[in-house]
Amino acid sequence: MKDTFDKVVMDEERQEEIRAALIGKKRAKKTWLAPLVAVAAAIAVIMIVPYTREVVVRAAGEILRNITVIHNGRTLKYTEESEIVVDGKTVRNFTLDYNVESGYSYAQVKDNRLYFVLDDKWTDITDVCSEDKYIRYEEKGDDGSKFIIYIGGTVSDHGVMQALLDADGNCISVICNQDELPKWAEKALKDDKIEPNFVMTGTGGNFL
Amino acid sequence: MKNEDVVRLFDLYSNDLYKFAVSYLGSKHDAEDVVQEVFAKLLDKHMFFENRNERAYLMTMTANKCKDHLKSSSRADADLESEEWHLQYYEGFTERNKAVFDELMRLEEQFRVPIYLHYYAGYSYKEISRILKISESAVAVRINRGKERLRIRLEE
Repeated sequence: MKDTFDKVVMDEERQEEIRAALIGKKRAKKTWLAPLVAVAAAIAVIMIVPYTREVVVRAAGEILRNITVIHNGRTLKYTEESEIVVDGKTVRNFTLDYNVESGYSYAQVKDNRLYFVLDDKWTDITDVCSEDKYIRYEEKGDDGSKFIIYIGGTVSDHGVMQALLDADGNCISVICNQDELPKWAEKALKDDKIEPNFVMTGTGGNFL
Repeated sequence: MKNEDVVRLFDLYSNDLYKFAVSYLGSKHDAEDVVQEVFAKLLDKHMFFENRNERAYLMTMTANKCKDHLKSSSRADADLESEEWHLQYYEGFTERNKAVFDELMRLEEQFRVPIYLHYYAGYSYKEISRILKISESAVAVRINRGKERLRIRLEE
């Protein structure tokens, strides 16, 4: 098989055509250097985040906002610090610390049924979720911020996404525990009109 | 993702993704389309990933695109006896290569794709389970069954 597939190569002309198209193509959305009102994704060099790691660590300064969400024995802490200037633009500087060394996922499978689990409360969501359908759970903080959980997919292939929005409805973070945003997750962001500057995805499986 | 980053990834991985798409779809033309769609999607996405995960991430995207192609097209199974099928062969293919290629493409996609990923692309069962979103035990079963069918056919 090795000898056979070594000879399977893309047509050079077609390869050049695609390459040229990628070089010349304009990006569909706005740049990733967020203006003042949105989150400072640019400075993060955000990678797929293993779930035990702190996402962004940057210059200390006055703490502008602190949001802590605790569910299922896990803590999500968002700390917004003073603004900094990146490439001539003023952006916000933040740390997202998600501690999942203990606790359990929002999505659990039991007896071939899919459940949304929130602090020991189990809700069967099997029949309302699919490849392009999801459930949504929202909490509002005292400061007006919103924390939203989305779960979609099937019993054998499901995922969890969470979004954190500030009081003005601007997206602070979106984290999804799939390698790539599945259809239901893209639909969820579209339905809620959330346009994240970045999405953290991960192969950590049950880290949400 | 910036254009130059996507082009860097294209230069590094386009042939790997192309081979994978060929193993999935059997068609040069469809495989080229999938590769183009994968990289075009990267341009429009605000996603980032660690260098060591790039290839696996792109393989997962390719698998998803191939599945979409299979779902959306009303294609019939390739007619391996047709003149058109012979256009799918590559330069330098010996008679043995053609036989291996034909027999691999005769296998159902659920068998040939894991076989390709394991024996050619070198992925472990665990990595294959992530790329194809199936359990590791399903990967093992499909590879064993596919191998057996391939062995029998190639011996005939």
